[in-house]
Amino acid sequence: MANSIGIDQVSRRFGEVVAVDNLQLEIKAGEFFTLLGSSGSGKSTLLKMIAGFDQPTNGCILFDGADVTRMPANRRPCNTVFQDLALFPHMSVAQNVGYGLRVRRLAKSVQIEKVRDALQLVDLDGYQDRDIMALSGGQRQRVALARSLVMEPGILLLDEPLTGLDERLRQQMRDEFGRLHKKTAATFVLVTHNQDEAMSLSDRMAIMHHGRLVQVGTPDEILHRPTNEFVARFVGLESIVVPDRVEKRGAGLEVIINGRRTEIPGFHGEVLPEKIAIRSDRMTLEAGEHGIPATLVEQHFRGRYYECTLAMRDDTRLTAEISVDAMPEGMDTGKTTSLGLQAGALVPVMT
Amino acid sequence: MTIGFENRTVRVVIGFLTAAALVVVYLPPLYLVGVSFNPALQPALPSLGDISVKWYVELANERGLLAALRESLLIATATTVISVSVALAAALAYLELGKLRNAWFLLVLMPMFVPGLIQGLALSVILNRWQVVPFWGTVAMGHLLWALPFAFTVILTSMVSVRRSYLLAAADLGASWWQRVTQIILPLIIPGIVGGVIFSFLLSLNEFARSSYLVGRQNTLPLVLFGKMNSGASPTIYALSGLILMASVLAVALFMYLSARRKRA
Repeated sequence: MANSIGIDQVSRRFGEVVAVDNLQLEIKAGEFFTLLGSSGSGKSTLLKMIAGFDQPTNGCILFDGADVTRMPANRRPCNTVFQDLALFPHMSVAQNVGYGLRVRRLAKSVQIEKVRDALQLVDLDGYQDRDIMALSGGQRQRVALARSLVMEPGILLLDEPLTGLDERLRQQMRDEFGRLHKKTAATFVLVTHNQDEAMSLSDRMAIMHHGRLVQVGTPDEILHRPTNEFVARFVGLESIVVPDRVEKRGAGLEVIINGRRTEIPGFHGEVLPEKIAIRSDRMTLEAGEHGIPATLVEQHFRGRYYECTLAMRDDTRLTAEISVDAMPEGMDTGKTTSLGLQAGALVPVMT
Repeated sequence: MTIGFENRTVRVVIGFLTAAALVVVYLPPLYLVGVSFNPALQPALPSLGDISVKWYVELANERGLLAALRESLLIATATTVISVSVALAAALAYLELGKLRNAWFLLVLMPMFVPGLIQGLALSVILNRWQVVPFWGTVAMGHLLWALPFAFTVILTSMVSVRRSYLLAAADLGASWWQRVTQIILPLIIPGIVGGVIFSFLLSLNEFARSSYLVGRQNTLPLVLFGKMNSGASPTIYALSGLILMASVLAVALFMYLSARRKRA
């Protein structure tokens, strides 16, 4: 059973510092929601308030519409997987996973059964009697997950649980989160500064900055319709230009960049975007004068592609990833080139 | 590392100094133990053939010494129970305190720096004014002031193994404050508690200055031993000293063993 979470005008101040600033947010029951932001954005503070480890200075936290703002952590129907995992070092795997059940005073036989089920869920059945210190990083991660999931929480909070794992393990655990979310049907709230994690897991996500929500939406919406330059850069759209002119044309936009006319299909808003982001993996370089004129300033070989820095007429810098076989002959730094755009290369950025 | 350990001369000098220090520290008490097994009246090391437990057997007849030992053990036990409980509470309070931590730490530690003669005198003056007749409890009071800072320090040191996130995680899994203390904190700081017990007990057992002011009709062991030394000692006091020394070493060894086992886990 999953709970919905309401964040109603919540602020958290530490003296003069405003960590969370009058925040309004609705997380639906059963969805995988991600709070994405850099350190100091207030995302962890918000998570602590949902878990009950911290109280808002103003505002209310609601679970399924009921006010839980003053409810202590040990009575809330949510469980947390901590950044440092916080596994109890004096207990075995089974004792760790079963700790919450022991506190609930369930019958021993029920405890054993539930612990086994939870360990099965994370592929660690048979590890019951192992010492926590004898486990690998990935295994500890799974034990921490099992310890939370055994409680059958309506809400599972994940506080940057993948920091400190190597890349391969991160991807494995990321897939694991997705699988467990489907299986348990609980509301998952993930806090992270890693946009790939957020994009690949979330049903919806929020980007936080200075204690406020900059944008809330599906990964698709955020990637294709970032509200401002900050969001665009945060989700990896590094090349942002101010177009010469933008006009509404049918169901899309007509944009003029560096004197060249091009189109963005499927734009339905009334307000026109001020900036345009260009996706680095959708740019091409051509020898002719077909595309947008640009000067190649730098190029670095990155294995499968060249990372090229291009300068526009107004000295705006773009980064293009040009695959090794698509690099035109005789191209070198300092030369003027023609920038071609593949479908979906242009992303309107509102402000 | 270039602190000179690779130099042969330096190594010899350091080795010699180390050995000399160890001899100075450990030889006298070992000598005392040796003397206690000598059946002769004059204090000296026994020759191998003469080794005897005569004085240890004789000890059983020394009523005065045994009564003092009983009194000292009673006081040490009372001191230990109270000092470890209070130190534990003080350490838990330290965990909860924010900015006031350092002030709290100093406050609990302070009695350690008050000279025993002054503390004993002060306490005895106050007790006198309140017309409290000195008994073993008044001695334990004085000992408590001496043992508490040590027990507090040892327990607090072991608290580093209690990460804040452990307590959050336990609360997150439904544990009340009491359950967090008994199921998470206490098992993690057992080496500190054992250390606190041993320290408190030994500090109380050895204490002289405060006892001399606060003692009632029955003297404690150190007071009796000191008196006997001055009035021509019977070798039974060597036997008693040897007994206490060996018990102390055993207790400390037990503490070391427990904390080593903890670290491995």
